[in-house]
Amino acid sequence: MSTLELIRNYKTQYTPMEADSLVLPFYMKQSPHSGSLERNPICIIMHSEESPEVGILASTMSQYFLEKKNRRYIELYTEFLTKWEQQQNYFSVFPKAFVFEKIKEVIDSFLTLNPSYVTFELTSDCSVFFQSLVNGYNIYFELYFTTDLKDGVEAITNIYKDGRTIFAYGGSIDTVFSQIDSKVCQTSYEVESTQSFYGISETAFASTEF
Amino acid sequence: MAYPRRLLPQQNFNRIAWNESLRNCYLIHFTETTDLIDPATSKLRITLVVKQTDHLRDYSNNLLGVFLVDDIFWASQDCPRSEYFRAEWDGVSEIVPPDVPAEFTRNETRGYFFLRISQCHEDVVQFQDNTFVHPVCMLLHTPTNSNFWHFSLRWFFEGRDLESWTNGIKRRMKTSAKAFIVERAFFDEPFYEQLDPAIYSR
Repeated sequence: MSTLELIRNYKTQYTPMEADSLVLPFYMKQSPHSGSLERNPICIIMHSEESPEVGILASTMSQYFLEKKNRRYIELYTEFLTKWEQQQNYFSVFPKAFVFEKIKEVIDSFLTLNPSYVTFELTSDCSVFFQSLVNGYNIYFELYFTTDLKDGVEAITNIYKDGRTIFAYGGSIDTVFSQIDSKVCQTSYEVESTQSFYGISETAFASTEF
Repeated sequence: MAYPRRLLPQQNFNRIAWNESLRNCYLIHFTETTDLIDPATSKLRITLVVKQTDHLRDYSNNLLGVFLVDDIFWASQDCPRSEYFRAEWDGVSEIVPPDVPAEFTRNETRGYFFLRISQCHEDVVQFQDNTFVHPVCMLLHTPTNSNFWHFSLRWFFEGRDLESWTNGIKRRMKTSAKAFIVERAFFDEPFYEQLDPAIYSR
C-alpha cells in the first residue's frame, strides 16, 4: 500500500491529512485506537488479529527515512550555500565544483548516520567544521581542503561521549565515516525505529476512534 | 572607574609555574557575543571557536581568583600603547596603569564562558589512525603588561606546539583543540578562590 493510498483510505475528520503527509502505519493487536501527531508524521494504528504485515511496515519506514534524509540534505546544503556566499574567500585555492562535491559527500554521509542534529561552520583553516549528535555521541568532524594530499581533502574526527573523548581519527572521507559508523551507529536505526514505533504511540497521540 | 591595579604585574611577582593547586582553579574566556549556547547541544556554539581558529596556538584565558568575573569587561582600546599592554610581561618591569577610557574601557556587551583547569591541563586526545598523534593540552602562565592573570591553553605533540607542525599533524591538533573547547566550556559561574600568594610572590 502506497503512502497516498494510506492517506486516501484513512483520512477522517479526526485525522486530517495533507497529500504530502508522511504516514507511519502501526499494527497492534486488539487496539481499536488510532491517532495522529499534531504535525507530520501522521501515524495510524490499525486493529488486526493477524500478525503485523512486516513487508508493508518496512517499506513505509524505509520511505519515511529516505524522505526525512532528503529533506535534511536540502536544508543543510542550502545552509552551506548561504555560508559559502559569505566566506568562500577561505577556499580560493580550490575549484568551487570540487569543494561543493566534497561537501555534498560529507552531508550525505552525516545523514546516513541518522543524526539528531548537524551544524557546521566554514573556517579560515580552509576547512568546514561539523558538529553532530548521534545516539548521544557528540561527533566533531572537520573536512580540510589541502594541496598536500592527492585527494585534495583530509577528514578528521573527534568523538565525545559524556564529556570524554572516545575516538579520534583522520583520513579520507569514506574511511573516517566508516570508523565513525563503527563507533556510534551500531544501534542508531534500531533506536530510532523503536522510538518511532513505541515512543510516539505511547506519549504523543491524541487518541481518536475511527 | 579606574583600571584595577590588582590585575597588573607587580615587581614582587613571579611567573607561575605549574602548581597542583591550579587544578582546583577555573579560567574565564571572553567572547564578543552573549549568545553562547547552542540549544541543540547545550554546549558552546561552534562558531565561537571557529572564529578563534587563528588564536588556537595560544588560546587566551584569565585565571579566576584575583581576576574577577566582572573584570572580563575591560577592553583595550586602539591607542599608542595598545601593543605594549598586549605584550608579554618581562617579569621584572613595573607597569604604569592604563588610562581609562583612552587606553582601556568597559565593554559590557561581551559574553564569557568558563573552563575547569582540571579538565584541561594534560588532557590528551589519542588518534587511532596511522599517525598516532596525541595532542596534549597544557596550561601556561602568559602574563601581559596589562594582566598578570592571563593564562594560555596550548596544544603540544612531542614537545612542539601546533603551529610548529605542518600538514596532517597540525590539522589533527587543530580539530582536537576546537572540539576540546566546545566540549569543556561551561556557563554557570563556579565558586572560585584566590591562589595562594606564595605561589606567585618572591
